[in-house]
Amino acid sequence: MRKPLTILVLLIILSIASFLFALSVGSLPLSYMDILEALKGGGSDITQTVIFELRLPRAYVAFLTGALLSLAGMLMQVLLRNPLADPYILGVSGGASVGAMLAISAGLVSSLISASAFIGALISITLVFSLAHGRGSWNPSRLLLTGVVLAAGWGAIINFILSTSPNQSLKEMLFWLMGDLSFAHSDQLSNLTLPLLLIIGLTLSLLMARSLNVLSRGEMQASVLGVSLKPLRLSLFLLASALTAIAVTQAGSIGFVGLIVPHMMRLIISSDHRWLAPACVFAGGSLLLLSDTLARSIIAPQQLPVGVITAFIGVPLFLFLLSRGYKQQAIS
Amino acid sequence: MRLLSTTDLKIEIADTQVCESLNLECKEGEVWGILGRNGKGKTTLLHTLAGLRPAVDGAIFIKNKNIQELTRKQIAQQLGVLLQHHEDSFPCSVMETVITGRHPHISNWQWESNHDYEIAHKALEQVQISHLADRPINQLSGGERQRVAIATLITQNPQILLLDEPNSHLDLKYQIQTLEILCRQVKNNNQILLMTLHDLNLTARFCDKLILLLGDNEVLIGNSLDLLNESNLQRLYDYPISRIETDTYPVFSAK
Repeated sequence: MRKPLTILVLLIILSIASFLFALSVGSLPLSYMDILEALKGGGSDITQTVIFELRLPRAYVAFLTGALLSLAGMLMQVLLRNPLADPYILGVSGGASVGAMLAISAGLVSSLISASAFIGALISITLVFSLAHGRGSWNPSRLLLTGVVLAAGWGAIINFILSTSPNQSLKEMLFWLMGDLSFAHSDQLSNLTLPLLLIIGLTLSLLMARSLNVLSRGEMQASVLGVSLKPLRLSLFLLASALTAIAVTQAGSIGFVGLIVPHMMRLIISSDHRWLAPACVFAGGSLLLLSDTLARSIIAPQQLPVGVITAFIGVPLFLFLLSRGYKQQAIS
Repeated sequence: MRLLSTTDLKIEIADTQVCESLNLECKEGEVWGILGRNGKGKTTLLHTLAGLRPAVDGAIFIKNKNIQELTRKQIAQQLGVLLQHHEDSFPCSVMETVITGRHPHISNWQWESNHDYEIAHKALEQVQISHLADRPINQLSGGERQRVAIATLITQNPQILLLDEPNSHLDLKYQIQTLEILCRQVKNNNQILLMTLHDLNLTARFCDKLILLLGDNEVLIGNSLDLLNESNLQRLYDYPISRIETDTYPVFSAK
């Protein structure tokens, strides 16, 4: 009990540190004193503008998107009881991408691109749900196959759109596909919906957490221990899909965060979902926020798609934890 | 009181007819064995009794309540199952697994109390794997994993225990010790135990009553020492088996 709590506190500290880092880095470097001054309402006008209109909104969206993706990944992994599952495995991001791509080729503004992506995600969720539900039982392998095949279908449509699009919209499309927060606009709507959805998602996850612990020992065993499978599966599917849809709509399909953060947290903190869920929120948020800060500053003024950086940071970190985890187990 | 009973239970799986009109009455303190050849529906019967799969017809009652009127949680508070296969998709420790036995007894927001952990520790002690409490589950041997599953069931502490091949992967010593612990507990606490078994000698030693699944809806129910005669066994296993009387329990051997 004490060890997971310590780690969770450390993760919260990491999250705050990531915010400070994100606020300080950029074409106008700011010291931590400047930032604190500005947060208190002081400092020069230009500092105020840079922080409150440029860096903070973007950091805010980055953090929340990372948190949503990690939580969705964790839920998806338990639902499918497959360690390779990530938030996109059931085709939610494919549907969203097609929606976004169509909007980009129609030359729409970014808020409409997001709306179109969200509609695409919803269509995809509905399709998977009705196809996998169909007649007969709803087992994880059927759900997984339906989702994976549907995702492949979306992939084909994406390639079709890419290969027939004019050059000027190609770069925007590719950035969207790789995941990019420079689109992330912070309007009143997303300012509210993102944290609200995250809080709802985390609360529901915590409410289901002990059932998730049991479910990860298999559906039959969960049933034996008093879990009603149908409602649990349904809420897991809908919740994970909704979190993913919102995240993808904000920032495109940022890979990797949703796959790797839940695994990292299982190795670091616990496989008990009551610790895992909040840990995923803070670790996922921090990872994406740090990655985005690097993505916009490493070769500034040029920006990299943040998906590239999440993989650059995540892959070695995860491999290190994995090998260390196995060594520890071997010793014990 | 009849803890577990069935009326006119009809079970089929794929093309196999398991039983057509099974009327069971299991009373407190009884140990039941379910015998039959491979594929005759031992596991299916056990899963049906646990409410894990629907019966074609008939009804199952726990304490005179139809199982269909109970929620999974209410069932789990009274009935536990030792499954034949254990699925460990994600790494977790032995204690984390055993404590899931308390799940049906605590509400969604609640954490396991010290009392719950005491029950789990005691269960680990009973199956002699206390030293493995912090070990990751995927590093256990087959027999150790089986004992973790039995400890989980003991932690769940249901009144009705359904065991699917409790002896699989266990050494001879642990086979006998485990069955002794469970059967003694059943007698002391007025619980009921039903288990599928393959070993006739253990069956004769531990089971009061037997269900013999002969196939094609033919089922024999009765006292175990009465049912375990050579002609029944010949029909049950489609192989000649001799019964040799000793001072304690009869011994069975394939001819």
